[in-house]
Amino acid sequence: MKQVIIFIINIYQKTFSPDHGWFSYRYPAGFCKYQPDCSEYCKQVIEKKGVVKGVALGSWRVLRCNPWSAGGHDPVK
Amino acid sequence: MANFFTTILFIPMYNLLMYFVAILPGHQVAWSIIIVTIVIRLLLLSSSIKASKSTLEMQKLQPLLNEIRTKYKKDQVKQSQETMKLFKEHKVSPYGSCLPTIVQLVVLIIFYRVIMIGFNLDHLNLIYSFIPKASEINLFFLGINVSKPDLWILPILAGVLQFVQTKMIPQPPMAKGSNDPMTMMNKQMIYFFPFITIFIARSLPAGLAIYWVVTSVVMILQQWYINSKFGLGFFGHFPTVATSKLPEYTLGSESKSDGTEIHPKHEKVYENDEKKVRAKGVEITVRRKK
Repeated sequence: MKQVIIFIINIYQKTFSPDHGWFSYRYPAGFCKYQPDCSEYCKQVIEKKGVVKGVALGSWRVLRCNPWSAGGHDPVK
Repeated sequence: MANFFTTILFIPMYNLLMYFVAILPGHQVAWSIIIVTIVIRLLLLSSSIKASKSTLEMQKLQPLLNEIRTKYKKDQVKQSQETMKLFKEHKVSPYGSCLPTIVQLVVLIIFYRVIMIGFNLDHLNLIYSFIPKASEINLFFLGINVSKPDLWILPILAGVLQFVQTKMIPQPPMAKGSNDPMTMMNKQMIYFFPFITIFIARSLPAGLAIYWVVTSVVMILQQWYINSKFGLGFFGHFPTVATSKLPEYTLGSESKSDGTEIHPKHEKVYENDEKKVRAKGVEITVRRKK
């Protein structure tokens, strides 16, 4: 399961991701306001904390990544 | 779980669409879709304008970013630290956020479901009591049935408008001498994507193609506004800024000879100023921290 989700995130990063994929040249400094960006964070957190907790934390991160948040450095703890 | 999403996402959206169907003269589903799409874009307007602006501001800093990137090629941590510092000194920050992007995708999926099951009079029980019920539903728009795929006009319009929209976003020029096949390929994607759009839109109900077209039109207007505000012309050319005009930035203490101009406020922190003349003839000051 973990491998499947990470595989999907990898595909996303190789294609549509504005931070890693086809459009990344358009955002020289990265698109996402967080560091590491959302997809990378999800990958790391799922790797580290397992599927259930990882997906929950990853979703929370994507929700935080909205126009009203500050962004910044936010590594997996 | 599916039930939960149906209640909080699908049914409200269904009600909104059916509300406009009920109150609009002619009861055309297409107009309802157009209005709801515009409402959604207006809700996302301020955040997406801010994001485009910050992208432009950021692209101006690209020479400095490249400098950092080549300098700390091997040290990812240092690289991101320096990038953050650069942003802080220039008071810019990446304003892109992932949630609005996802919102658009979710709206597309909800529209899809609504259009697949919704537009007949069998599902009126899903409508809240305070929403007027439509007496009739007109699925036709300019002779196109919105619940069936439209093969030519709308998909091609969607593809063309999307192409125009991507073309309007200023593209950073390729670094000189760089022959990165990845970047080359990525750049070619903008010619490839409209075709994908056309093929996807051909296989979906025409209502979704209408959503796509309206979204692109709003985005084009938005980008037009931003481009004219930054004086970049309709098809935004990339803002080229002379290195000397770039705001000041200090490289970290490990920085070697190719540091850049420095912020006047930081003067006291530094000793041993050195004046250097860059290859381009721009005078720069390198200061080392104590």
